Amino acid sequence: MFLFKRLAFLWICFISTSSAFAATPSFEEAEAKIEAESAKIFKDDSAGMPQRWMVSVAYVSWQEQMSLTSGATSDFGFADFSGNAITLQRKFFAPESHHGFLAEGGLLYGAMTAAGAGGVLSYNVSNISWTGVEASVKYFYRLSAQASVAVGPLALSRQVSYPTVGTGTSGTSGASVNFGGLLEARAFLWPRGELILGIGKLIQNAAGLWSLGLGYSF
Amino acid sequence: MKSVAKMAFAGSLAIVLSNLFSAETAQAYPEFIGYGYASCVTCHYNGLGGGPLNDYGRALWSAEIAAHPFYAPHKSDEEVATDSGFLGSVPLPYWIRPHLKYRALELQTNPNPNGPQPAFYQMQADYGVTVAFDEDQKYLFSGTMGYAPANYGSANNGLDRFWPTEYYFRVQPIESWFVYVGLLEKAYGLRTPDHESYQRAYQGFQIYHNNPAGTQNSQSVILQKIAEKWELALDYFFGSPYEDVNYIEKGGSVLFEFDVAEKKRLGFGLLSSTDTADSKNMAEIHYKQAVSKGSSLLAEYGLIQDQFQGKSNNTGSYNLLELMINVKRGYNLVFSNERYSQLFNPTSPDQWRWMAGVLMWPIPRVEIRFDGINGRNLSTSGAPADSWFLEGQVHVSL
Repeated sequence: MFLFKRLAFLWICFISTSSAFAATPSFEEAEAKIEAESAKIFKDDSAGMPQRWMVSVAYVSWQEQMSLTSGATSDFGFADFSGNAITLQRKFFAPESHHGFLAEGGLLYGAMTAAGAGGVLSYNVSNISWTGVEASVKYFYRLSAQASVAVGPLALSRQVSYPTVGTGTSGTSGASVNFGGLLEARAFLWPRGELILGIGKLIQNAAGLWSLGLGYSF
Repeated sequence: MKSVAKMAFAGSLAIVLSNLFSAETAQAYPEFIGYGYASCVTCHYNGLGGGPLNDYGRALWSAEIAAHPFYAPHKSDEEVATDSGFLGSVPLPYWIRPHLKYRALELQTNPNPNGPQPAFYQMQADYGVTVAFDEDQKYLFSGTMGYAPANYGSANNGLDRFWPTEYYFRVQPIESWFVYVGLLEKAYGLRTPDHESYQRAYQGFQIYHNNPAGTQNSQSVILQKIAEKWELALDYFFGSPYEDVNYIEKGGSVLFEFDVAEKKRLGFGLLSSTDTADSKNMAEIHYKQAVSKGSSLLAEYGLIQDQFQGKSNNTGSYNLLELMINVKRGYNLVFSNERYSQLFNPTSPDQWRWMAGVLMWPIPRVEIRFDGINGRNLSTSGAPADSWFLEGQVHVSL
């Protein structure tokens, strides 16, 4: 995870700069390419709403509130989930307009750390693997050919096993199926490559949800 | 465990609060590469950014950056720009340019019905003057005095401490070469306007004095070369005279940036400093790019090696990624994520800070910000509760 995060960041830096080194187009040329790609979406459409596919990889993290029990004693704590999401998105553009919506589904995996909040029960586990799936529908508004904002609800299902520690302290957190919302800033840095920063919240016994991803449009 | 969680939260809060109070006369905005301005010298007397705006910067802010809903529709941007002086459209002699700045903040920590009340902070009230000794401004002096809170981090405080914020002589001996001598911000990394940033907090850019991490401004001699497609700054600094002797930082830094393409700039920085409390060595790589008009991407990654007195070496890392999206003239959305880890190894906790906000210049001379911030410490040794902050800021500049 540690290595992945740093490699992902360096990859973003490298791709950003290497594309510039490779061709060194003027800003206007680069902008025109993105705008041409954007315009092509509408040209290609012959049946109403123009559509595009996108695959993305993202780093995601959220926190869940945790219930701890040991016999008749109960306590609380928190569980931090972090990992990666691989998603497939379908964008639907309102014809000749600046907005549209996208539907998204994804597979998630990563590691979880959970710990008590320092009450009567002691609990601390880390590097617990989890897997999940997510689905989301978002409304997006394109502020330019390159930049857009998207917002919408999401459903998240994750599977994780909580080890029992010490003298029998066990825990559960959040909900295996949870719902929430995500606000995203999206920017095409290349004609087909989109940077996506998201921040949101899960509803049930959970807190902030983040995502940082790169998408490829086709 | 409880104490660890409390300490983690208190630490996060202290860092956030401490960085809310950095006092600068005017922020630098590397984000303005989105308007095609890659170099700070276009708008600031200080070619490394920050501090008072020059005439062009004032005009640019009024005519291109800020919204101006209260001007008559027929008034052109050029006419609006002529109103951007200290006294509006009243011209001042070429040799004098006064400036004023006030900033205040309303902060809500962990908002919920049973949570703490919002707190109001006055951050800064600065005034100063830039004096040019010749019409070409090859020789000038800029000085800023500021009122700031004596007790940093305390809510509802007054601006009860008065001190020099920044002062320097600038000489331009040869075209495109600048020399700065005075109390200046150290040359290193992206000068972002967000003072809470993990990209500035741990790097020795604290505003309050006698801070073991290091303070932002130091008496310096800076040599800067500004070419069309690249810039280089060499900084020798020897501490702020307003700090106790144990915190006088001495050292040097190098900052280099170059265009990899139009409106895309890559940079590197190195900094080494020593005082009796801490020795610090840092290296960073940064990148800024225009996305579309007014919209930009910033990224920085760096390593920090600290050796606090009596303790072993810590080498940590940090990164920043920020996307600013221009909604319409004067109105922007800003999303960012930042990470800091004190030790450069997989087991060291990662402090994350994710932010979504609105940055507005609704009229010339006024900046308004609203930010929501989620802080999280990812660690294998615990899972402290997330921290949340909602803040609103008002900045007024003349």
